[in-house]
Amino acid sequence: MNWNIETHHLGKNFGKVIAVNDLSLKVAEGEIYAFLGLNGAGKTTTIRMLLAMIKPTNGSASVLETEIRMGCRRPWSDVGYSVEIPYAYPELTVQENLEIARRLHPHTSKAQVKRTIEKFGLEEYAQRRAGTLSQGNAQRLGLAKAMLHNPKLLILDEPANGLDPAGIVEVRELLLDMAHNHGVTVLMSSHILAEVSRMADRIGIIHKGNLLQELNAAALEANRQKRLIIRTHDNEKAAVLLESSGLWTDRLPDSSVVCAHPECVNRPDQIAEKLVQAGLPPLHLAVEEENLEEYFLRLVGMKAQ
Amino acid sequence: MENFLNMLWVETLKVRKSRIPWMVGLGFMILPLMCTFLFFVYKNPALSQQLGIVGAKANLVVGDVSWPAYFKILKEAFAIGGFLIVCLMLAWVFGREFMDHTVKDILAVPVPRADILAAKFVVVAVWYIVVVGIFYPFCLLMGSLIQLPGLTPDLLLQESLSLLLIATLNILVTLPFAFLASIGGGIMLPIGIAILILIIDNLAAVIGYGNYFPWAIPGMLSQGEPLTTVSLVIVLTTALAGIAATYLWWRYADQSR
Repeated sequence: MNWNIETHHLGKNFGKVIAVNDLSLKVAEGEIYAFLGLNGAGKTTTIRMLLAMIKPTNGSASVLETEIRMGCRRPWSDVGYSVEIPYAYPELTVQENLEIARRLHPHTSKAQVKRTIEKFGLEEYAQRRAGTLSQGNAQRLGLAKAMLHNPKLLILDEPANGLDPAGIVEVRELLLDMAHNHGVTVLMSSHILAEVSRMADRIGIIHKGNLLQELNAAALEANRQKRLIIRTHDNEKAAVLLESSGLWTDRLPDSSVVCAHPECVNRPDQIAEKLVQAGLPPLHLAVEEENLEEYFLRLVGMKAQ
Repeated sequence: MENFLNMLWVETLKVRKSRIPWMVGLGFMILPLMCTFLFFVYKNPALSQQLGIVGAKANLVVGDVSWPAYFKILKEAFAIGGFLIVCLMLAWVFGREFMDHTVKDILAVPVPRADILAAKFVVVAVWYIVVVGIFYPFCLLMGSLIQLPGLTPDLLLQESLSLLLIATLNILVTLPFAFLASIGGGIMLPIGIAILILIIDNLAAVIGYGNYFPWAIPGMLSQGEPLTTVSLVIVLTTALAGIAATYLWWRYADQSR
């Protein structure tokens, strides 16, 4: 397998602060890998190390099979990136900003600027100064600059930031198309967990500089906690009934009974039968799965403890 | 070469489209206007009396209404003003990338950082040549308008060369300000240091070390001191150190802004 990003025990300290600690990861060609983490978790520092903007304190990184060193010239002709909030030269127009990006990637054709403007729906704003753009359009311009030269690898820090719902869908579809139909590798960081779960082939959860877990969609599915939510006309009695059978329960704020016991989760039909036999027919009975946000918070919380 | 030319195009576009270089260049034209005004006041005793403190200042500064006196004041003002505007321009061209948060866009690119930096230095130098190219004829025009006596071809040639030398020294000694703008991440640090240097310049000149303090050397020249070999070596070393420090910082320092 071709690994387009590889890090080995990568670490960065800023004085006594450990920003990234012993990070080893691999991202395969054509894969969408998402970094998930709270603010200050070390996502942007990792991205900056991968882009040779900051020097690692420990370990090494290679991008597109090139070992990354400060100030190196390769492999940037095949890498597109956007770090933190995208900025542009405010007094220059959208088209001029893209022309600058084109000249920073000398083998990009002039026609590519026009194509990119169309691709990102920026035609209306092409002659407008970048300083006057809305946050969403500034984000589009940032993504357009990153993708202008048709890179093999995209490193995007919070690509959906500031975009409206339609923009989020557009970017998601664009990235999925690039990755799955054109073999472009995408490493992205995001706070928008729903986006991550819809797009990423693999997710790396980073917390306080440490990579806590890497998981793909199947592993996420397997790791997610499931629970049975039960509502009857006497929830108190229903809870006592289940607990008397050795099934531990909890209560939701609306007084619904929650049971995470495997017997409840795997055989809700038997629980329903039990409730009916006790004269407590369920008004609501549903197995709920923990979403990525809840899973992430649980994981971070557990490790934090 | 293709990379450098591309970067030169980019830097020229940025300078052309921004208001700062135009404002700084135009602001510099106040110098000959002020000098000419002082000479005009001095030439007209009635006006000088009427203007009070301005008239007194004109009497104190001018002393003699002639082209040699005009050139002398012009050179002294140019030594300081030229230094300040190049500082400002270098600080802006390098520091703006940090102020506008655009620096990260020019770091992980296939164009070598040396080409990006060289284009920035060249654009500042060309801008300065254009400003001086407008400034000097403007000074001559102003002097002619108030009909100063004593302009000879020899004097014109001698003073033009002298001004050219001061202009060259000015740009050479200001090159380290590109480094200051880079480490300071904007224009505040270089401008602050430039003001401090102007104070130290005077002190160095007063205690007799003006020829050894790089930033005082253009000023010493404007006051008629000859340019010694030692001074020239100091200026060139300062320029090279400025370029090297800027390059090394951009090449090797952590860029976390």
